Amino acid sequence: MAAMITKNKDRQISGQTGTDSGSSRAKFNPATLILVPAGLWLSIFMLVPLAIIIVFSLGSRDELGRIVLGFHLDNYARFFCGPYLSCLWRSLCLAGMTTASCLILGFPCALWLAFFLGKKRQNFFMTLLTVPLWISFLLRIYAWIIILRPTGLMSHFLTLLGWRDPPSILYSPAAVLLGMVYNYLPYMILPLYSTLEKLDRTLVEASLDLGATGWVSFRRVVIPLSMRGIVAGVIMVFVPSLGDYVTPDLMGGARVMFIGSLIQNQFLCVRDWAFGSAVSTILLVIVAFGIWIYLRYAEKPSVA
Amino acid sequence: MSLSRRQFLTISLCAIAGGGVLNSCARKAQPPSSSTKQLNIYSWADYIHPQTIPEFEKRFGISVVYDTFASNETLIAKFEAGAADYDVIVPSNYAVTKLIELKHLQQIEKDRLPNFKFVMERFQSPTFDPHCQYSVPYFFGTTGIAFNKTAFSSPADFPRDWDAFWDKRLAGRMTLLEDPRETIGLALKRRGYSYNCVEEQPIRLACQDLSRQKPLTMCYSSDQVIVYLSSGDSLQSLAYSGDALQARRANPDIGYVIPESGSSMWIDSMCIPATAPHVGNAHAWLNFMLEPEIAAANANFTYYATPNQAAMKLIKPELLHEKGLYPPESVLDGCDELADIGTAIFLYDRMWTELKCI
Repeated sequence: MAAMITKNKDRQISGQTGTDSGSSRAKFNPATLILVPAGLWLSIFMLVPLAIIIVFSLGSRDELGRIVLGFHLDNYARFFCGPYLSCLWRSLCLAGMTTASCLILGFPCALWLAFFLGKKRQNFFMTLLTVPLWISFLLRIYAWIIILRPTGLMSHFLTLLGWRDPPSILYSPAAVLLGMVYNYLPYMILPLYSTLEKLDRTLVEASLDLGATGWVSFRRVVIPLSMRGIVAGVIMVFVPSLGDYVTPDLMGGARVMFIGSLIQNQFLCVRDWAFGSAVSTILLVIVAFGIWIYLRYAEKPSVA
Repeated sequence: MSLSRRQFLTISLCAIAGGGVLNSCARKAQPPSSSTKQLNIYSWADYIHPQTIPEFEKRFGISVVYDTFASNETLIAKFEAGAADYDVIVPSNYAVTKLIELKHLQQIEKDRLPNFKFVMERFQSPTFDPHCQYSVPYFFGTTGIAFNKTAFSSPADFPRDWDAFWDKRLAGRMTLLEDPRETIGLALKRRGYSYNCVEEQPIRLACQDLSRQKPLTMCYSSDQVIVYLSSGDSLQSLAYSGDALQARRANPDIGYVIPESGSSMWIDSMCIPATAPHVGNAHAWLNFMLEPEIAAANANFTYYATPNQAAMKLIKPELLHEKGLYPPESVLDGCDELADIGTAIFLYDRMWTELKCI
């Protein structure tokens, strides 16, 4: 989705600068037909469910948990008046911290991959980066649980080093953040790397020739030029981590509720589909709005 | 009761697939053939002796399809979505009530179940179905305190009542169930209320107690309790009786006690859906499952308790003498059957969410 958005943006920008795109719009181009499969797919599996969610969110549930269609905003009012706001706030903080940590950890990695390695070794390390993605992410989370739990490998190791009764970080906020960053780091590095790799190296050299220090050149040349990759990476990490409920539940021991687990809970346990749909809609609006703002704001430097 | 056998992976994978849940369920519901020599069962995972189905197939020449679900809520959701291929399902107490109300069950013809007479008298009239018109009890159990004996200096120190979960000495090494009815229920029981309490004030008080207890809890989990207990990660857990005993299979230090102030009791029953395509075969299955030898084999394998009087003498002695599994009448009388509480469940759900949001 993020990639799609960036691409659209690209097209808009080239549309603004290009001259021939306007005239071809009037005539039907048979090449547009290649969009049919994807278009059908999107409208059936995305737009229809989306419409269902919005309709459900205006209804309510009966005593037996069945959905009763209606037209009122009670579910939305309930969300904004209850303790659910703190749940939303917590999720935003977690997603923000995950994104920031991934960016801080991922940027040097991507920089190193793109600038300091030969092409062959770049490919090798890129493969290495995607290896964890070959394994189900639930298995990887369970592996972390085995390492971090009170009688796990980590406390075993610390005890061997002479630390009696080491604390266990599993089921703490630190563990949740660790799991999230671990999961989403590749999604930050990949777009960053692909931007940095294409970055015109001579511009960096020029800035250095003109007297910029390494840091200034990084800050005023490399970062602005890689803004597109940063935006893509931030969106690819922020959006899924906002809705993620498996990692916080497993690594955090389900002790606190995040917005993702709230939605999951409404659908699978409480069977209040109406409220679950309302929360989903709210989350969707927030994410869409956030991306819109961010794209508008972040695209400026690279266009200028 | 629901959650102990819930397989978390299934749930999460389904949930990741999002709206695919019901879809995939509906697909799985299709039996491979619709011949009359067929029986489709929908039950919990690992809830039957592995030889039971082959024995039934051999004796009756009926082929059995055994699908599993992970929670009563999933079961109900599936029937609400129109599943119509199952002949036998195994819901728990309040789910039976809900399914009856939703008109998803049909009456069981008792004259076709000569073995029903083996069912203990107290289980012939459960509150959720007073005359066993729609359900035949399969297993029962309690929810109590499972603990690691090595964490306590002497047997006198072993937990005896719900207060044990507020014991600061075990901070960070206790788990509670990820189930509002059970966990809020224990806090209610501790204050002298019933598990089926429907008034707002007591439920609120119970949740306040739980929020004080929360910092001492390692996690809320239902599907990993056996692992936590047997590995020693958890020194004291709220656990279903069968789970606690299964944990002991791996770790002999695990004990299980039904708290003095009482706990919850649940019964999983076999029911025939209103839409069942093979009603005759379903009755044959129910009668077969009530045979003392079969009931005993299932109970010996799963470590859950059978309500079958005649099967009792075939139960392994070490299980039979386990007070947590087959408690004396007096203890059972102090336990509440988890009943359907109607719209009060909204209160539980809401307060549970609030507890998690703090």
